[in-house]
Amino acid sequence: MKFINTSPPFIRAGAPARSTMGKMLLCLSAMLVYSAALTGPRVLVNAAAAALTCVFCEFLVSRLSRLPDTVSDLSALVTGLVITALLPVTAPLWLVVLLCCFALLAARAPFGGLGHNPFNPAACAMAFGSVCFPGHIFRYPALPQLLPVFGSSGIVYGRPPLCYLADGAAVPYRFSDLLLGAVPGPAGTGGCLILAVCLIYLLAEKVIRWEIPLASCAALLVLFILFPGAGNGARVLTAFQQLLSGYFLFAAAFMFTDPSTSPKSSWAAVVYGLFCGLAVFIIRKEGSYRDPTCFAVILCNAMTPVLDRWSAMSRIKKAVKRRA
Amino acid sequence: MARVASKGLRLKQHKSAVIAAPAAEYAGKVLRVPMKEPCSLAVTTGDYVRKYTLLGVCGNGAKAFSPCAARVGEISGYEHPALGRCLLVQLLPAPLPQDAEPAAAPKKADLSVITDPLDGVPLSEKIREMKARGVRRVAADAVQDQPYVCSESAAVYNRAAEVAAGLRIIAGELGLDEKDASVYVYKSKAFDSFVRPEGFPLVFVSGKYPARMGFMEENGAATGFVGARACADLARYAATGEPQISVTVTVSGPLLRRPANVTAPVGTPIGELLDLCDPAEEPGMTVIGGPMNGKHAEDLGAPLCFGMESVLLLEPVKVREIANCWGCGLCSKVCPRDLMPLYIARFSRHRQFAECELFGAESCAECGCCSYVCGGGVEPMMFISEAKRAIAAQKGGGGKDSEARKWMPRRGFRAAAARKTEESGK
Repeated sequence: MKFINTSPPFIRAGAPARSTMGKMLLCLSAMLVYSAALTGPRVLVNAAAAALTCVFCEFLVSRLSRLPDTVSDLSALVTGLVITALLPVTAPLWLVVLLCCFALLAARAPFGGLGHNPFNPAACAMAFGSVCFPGHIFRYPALPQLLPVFGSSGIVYGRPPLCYLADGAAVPYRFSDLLLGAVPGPAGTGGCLILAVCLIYLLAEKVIRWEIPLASCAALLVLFILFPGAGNGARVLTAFQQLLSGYFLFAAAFMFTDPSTSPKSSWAAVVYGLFCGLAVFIIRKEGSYRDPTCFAVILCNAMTPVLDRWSAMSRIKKAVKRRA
Repeated sequence: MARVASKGLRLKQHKSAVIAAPAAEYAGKVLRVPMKEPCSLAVTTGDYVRKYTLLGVCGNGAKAFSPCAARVGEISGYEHPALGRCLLVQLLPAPLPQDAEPAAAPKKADLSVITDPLDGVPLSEKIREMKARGVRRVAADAVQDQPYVCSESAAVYNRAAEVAAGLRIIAGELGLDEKDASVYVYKSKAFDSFVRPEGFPLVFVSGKYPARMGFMEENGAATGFVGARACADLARYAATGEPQISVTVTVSGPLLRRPANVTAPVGTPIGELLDLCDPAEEPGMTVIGGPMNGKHAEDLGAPLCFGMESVLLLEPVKVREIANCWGCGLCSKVCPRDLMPLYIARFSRHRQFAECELFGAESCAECGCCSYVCGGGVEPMMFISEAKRAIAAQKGGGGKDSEARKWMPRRGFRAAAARKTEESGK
């Protein structure tokens, strides 16, 4: 329902969700195109399938329920592309479609749609996939190789760096390959340099808060420097390898910072970011999954309301003190 | 320069063209002079009145004079968007055989004759309240930080000498020295060449909207504020003996081709003021007061009154349901009171007012920053106001004019209410 306002303020200048989501889409597309340059057009087919599924699901939800129409705000597309980026390029299309449906129909719509979901839908879908289809989710193709657009014949699989790190073995990949994303890993999260450019763009456009990526990366680095795994090499190198492997950096830019599931005040965002780093550290060290960042996202999302409540109360206390 | 408000909004002011031009004069046709109830009338239907004849006295002591020679028509009740419940005295222009000469200039200005157009309180009342408060400074108030609204700043710009003279009279009444008086103006790019009222420091207030809120909270206790228009009117009254029969308001907005400050008699319908400024064909929304916290006026026949800063014709804004909030948190970034409007609005929507209280809804200043920036197009402020009223009602207070709203220029008749309570206490 739309109506003309009769209560102040009578002028508005809010940037609609669409413009924010558009900027995110731009960054995600850049990541996927970079991935296509490394492995061929297969990832773009996955992205198209994910996008179509998400838009269809969102359309279905807005028609069947009384929720406001959110197809046009592009948030469903963002979720779809995030899922594509987190899956391996070789993931079967049915899995892409299934996870997108899960994200929108099970993790978002029941809570009231965009902005009302307590957990990041893409993280929920990945957690669901990790638990149910670990064979598909954690099987990454070796790079560089040109992958067939459909089917899985002739694909050579490789061992992602996180496996070596978890086993306490030396990572056989060059550091520059880690930076460029030319190692086995999720489809759209490898190119750390292009990811850094996206991160700077999103920060400059004020789409995301700077506190969360900074605090989470710092926490992860410091924790791995202080407590490196047994058998790993130099502490600092291992910590940086941990930072650049898997999709932690991608999550720091696109998932921890999801505006609707992250805290709204500065210090709460710092605490949240630190906790994100800590959660990933603990699950990577002790957990059995190879890349547990999606679980960390869900854990930290659960903290958001508590952190916001605390920060609201501390603000009020401060204000009362100032007045007294 | 006084700098206030670290959080808030940087709003485009749209004032430069309007502020420098002298106010356009408009003589109304049929006037309906509003008097806030309760009031005592000095005329009845059918009476012939001369120019400057006393029509009645409002509850707060504000006097209404006839702006022209006329026959008193119908007297009716009216719900005014700015004043609230009031009586309208219709004045039908009727030529009198012997039009009245203006009253002789009095030796000493009678301050009850001048009503501050900023808040509708007569100057006598204001001075009494300032004396009771023991103010150490007095200031002409032209801190208008909302877009378009510049009636007070234009008075400082165009009537600097009169503002200075009026301020001098008020300082004298309060027993203050001239050096304790100053003129405060909200700083905008257009104001570099401000004409400085002689003998008084012109202090620019700058900062993000709501700069006025921060400024008033810092200075409101020790300083007595009188609108710049009231100072100028007082000086003119002292010089010529003409009581206040007209108000200067800003008539502006994106839908007016020739926005201006217009001086018109009290009781002129606001629709006539808009017509004077060449409105565009598109449908617009008429607002009395600032665009951030003014009031929507559905009736274009609503008469001009004291307590009005501006009449704006703005583009209608479409708003959406609270369910469209997507939790971006921009509202809590800009909130000058450091609140989290999105949570308060959501709790208020579900009538969980205890939660709203926990999130500090009571200290909301109702400045409108949250609704202004909302990307979802929803109105958090409306829900927060509702929560505030509900919390106040639960606590048994009035709620509407809480401490948090004190900085607003149009704060009605609190001074009069305070006096009444004082008197009944005695």
